[in-house]
Amino acid sequence: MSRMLAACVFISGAVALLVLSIMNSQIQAEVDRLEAELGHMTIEDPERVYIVEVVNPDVPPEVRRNLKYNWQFRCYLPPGYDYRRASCGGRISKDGVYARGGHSSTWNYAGGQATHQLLTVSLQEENGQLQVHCSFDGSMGTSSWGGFRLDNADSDLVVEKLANHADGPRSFDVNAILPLLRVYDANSAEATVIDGASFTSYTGGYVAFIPKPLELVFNDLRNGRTPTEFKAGWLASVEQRDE
Amino acid sequence: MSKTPESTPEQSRLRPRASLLSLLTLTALMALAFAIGLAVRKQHALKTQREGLLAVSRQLIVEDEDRLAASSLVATASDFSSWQVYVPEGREYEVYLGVGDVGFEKVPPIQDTFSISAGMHRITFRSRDRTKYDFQYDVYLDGEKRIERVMGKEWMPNGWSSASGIGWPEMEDRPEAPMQLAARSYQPKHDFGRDRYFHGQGDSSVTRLGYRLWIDEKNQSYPEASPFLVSLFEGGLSDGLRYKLANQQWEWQFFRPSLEGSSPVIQVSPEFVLADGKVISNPSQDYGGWVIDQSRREDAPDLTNENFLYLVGSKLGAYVAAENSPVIEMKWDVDKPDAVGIRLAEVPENERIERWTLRIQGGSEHLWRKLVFADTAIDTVGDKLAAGDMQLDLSSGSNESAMLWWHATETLPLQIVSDENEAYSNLGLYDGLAVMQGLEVPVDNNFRVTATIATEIPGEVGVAFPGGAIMEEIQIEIDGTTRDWIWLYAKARSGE
Repeated sequence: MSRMLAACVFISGAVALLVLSIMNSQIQAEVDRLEAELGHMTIEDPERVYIVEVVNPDVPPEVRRNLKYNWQFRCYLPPGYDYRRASCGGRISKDGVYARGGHSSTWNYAGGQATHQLLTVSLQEENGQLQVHCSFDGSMGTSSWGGFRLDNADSDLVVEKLANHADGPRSFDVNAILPLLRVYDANSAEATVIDGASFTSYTGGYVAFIPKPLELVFNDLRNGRTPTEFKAGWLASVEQRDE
Repeated sequence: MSKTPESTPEQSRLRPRASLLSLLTLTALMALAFAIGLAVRKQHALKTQREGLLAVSRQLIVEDEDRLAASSLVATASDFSSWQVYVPEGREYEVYLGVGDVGFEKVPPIQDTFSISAGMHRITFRSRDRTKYDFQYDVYLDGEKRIERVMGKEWMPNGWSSASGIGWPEMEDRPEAPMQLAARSYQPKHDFGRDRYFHGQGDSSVTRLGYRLWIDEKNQSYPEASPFLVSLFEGGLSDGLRYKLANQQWEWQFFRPSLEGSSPVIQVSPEFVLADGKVISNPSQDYGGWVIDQSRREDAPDLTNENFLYLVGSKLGAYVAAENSPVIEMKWDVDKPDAVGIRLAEVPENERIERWTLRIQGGSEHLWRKLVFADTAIDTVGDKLAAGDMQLDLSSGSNESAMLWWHATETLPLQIVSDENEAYSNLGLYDGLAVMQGLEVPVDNNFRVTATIATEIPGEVGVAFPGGAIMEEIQIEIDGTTRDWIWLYAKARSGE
């Protein structure tokens, strides 16, 4: 009798395990499909920011043909990550976050939960005017990047992404300014001098995340000044690899 | 093999008996349980990951296959909106685009429709709602343009200053509401000249130009919205004058949201003199304020052409009708959108009122300096009027009723006047578009109208009113036996 009971329990358990395995493989297949669309990202440290480029943003064809360029990134933001999303343009540096021209920003407060969000940046040209659309977390903002135009820039346009598909997802410390996307015209180089320091600026723009504790540092860097106690780790770059 | 020592029968019963097979079975069961535990944990993690990814991807999840469903796709440009839409089997549906007059309860005229079959679809809407684009609205179904509607520059020649979303109106006779995808109501931009900025207040009940995009069953039509607002604390016309009740406040305040102001266009402080000589006024020792008591109405409201509202004095400190209070009847008529009618109601409680006075206040907020009635035009500054009361004879010929109009001398909105003249900055001037107020009373001995002229800022003795004398208040003294309507008006100046 006890052997029969054990056998029944064993068979039931085996069936349950089989059903669970089948369900898990179905859910895994769905997750794999979604990650193929949205980029693969493994959160190893939930206290860091993760960014992965979405290779083929889901943009309807009737919309895409009205856009010049379109980029999309999936972002993992840890709990408590309060930040400003800034779109700056006009004359910018090819490194750092210097920008002279248009500037718009939005504050985002993360709350107690980690979130996944899509950042979508589109460049649209209408009647000779460039519009930069930045969509994130259900809100959309449009700016002009200080009059940056694409007329002559298409062939010499440089696009730098902090995380690109070829290199896979990247993670960042929460206390780092993240210039996620930088676009500029390589042919528009011009010498710029600020406080005696000379560097090259270009017409273009960028989109960046600025964590709240580094807001004042960002303002200085955007104006071409380096704060006296500046640490290199406060500004993420394309070349810098994950710690 | 040596024998184990023999044990007593009792010891034999207590000693655990486990064969090798039993141990193997137990081990297998434990391993199975462990594997199941791991699988359950993995499933939880996978489900959490899947939900996070689905939320990001905006994929539409259809929970009820018999109902419409929609999910907005990630926005990529400010003039485009896209949705994934599910249409159930069994009924014929259409996509509707309405453009024109919209309001909280108002569906605009349907400009275009097209059929949409059952199943999953993508709808994209492009609104180029600027004068430079001639206000063009395009609707795509699964990538194909199905509607292109151009309203033209003249539809809104100055453009708009702000736009707000509006929900679908409640329709009691429709158990399933249409699926509204997008809607907008535009607040028109006003041009008052270079470097002059007018900041108007919005109100979703006011009819404005806008659009709605929605999915509904085929060949639907929508009832015309009532022009009236009816609630516990407000009454009147959506696009005209409205009375808004404030708890424990004696004065009656009337607003005109269509003129984009947040402060009252008319404020009235009533005063009642009873037959026994008692005076009921502000502050009252008997009444805290007023309550709306629609139980006084004998028949159901028409809400097509006329609407009525009954005010009863409230007890001190409570939103409860007091006994034996004066009862005021207010009336709105769609043929008089700029006006509200006021009179004593035909109730026994009002029979003890010998006379009553309406004090129309607000001269310092509205800078009243011009009065026009009969063949007379008065300018408080130009005519160098001194402070004090001035009785007005409104009668003119054989007309049964007489009109009095009054307004500021400034033609610009007082918000701009206040910005440009520091002397007015602390007076709390009216913040809407330029308005003129009016009064219509029967020409008989039951009414007496008096204007109070002030040359100093109220409450500041010796401080001259900036810009000169104003008409601070108008009093209408009314015989307590008459039940004729007094009409108060507030309308836009300069044809706006």
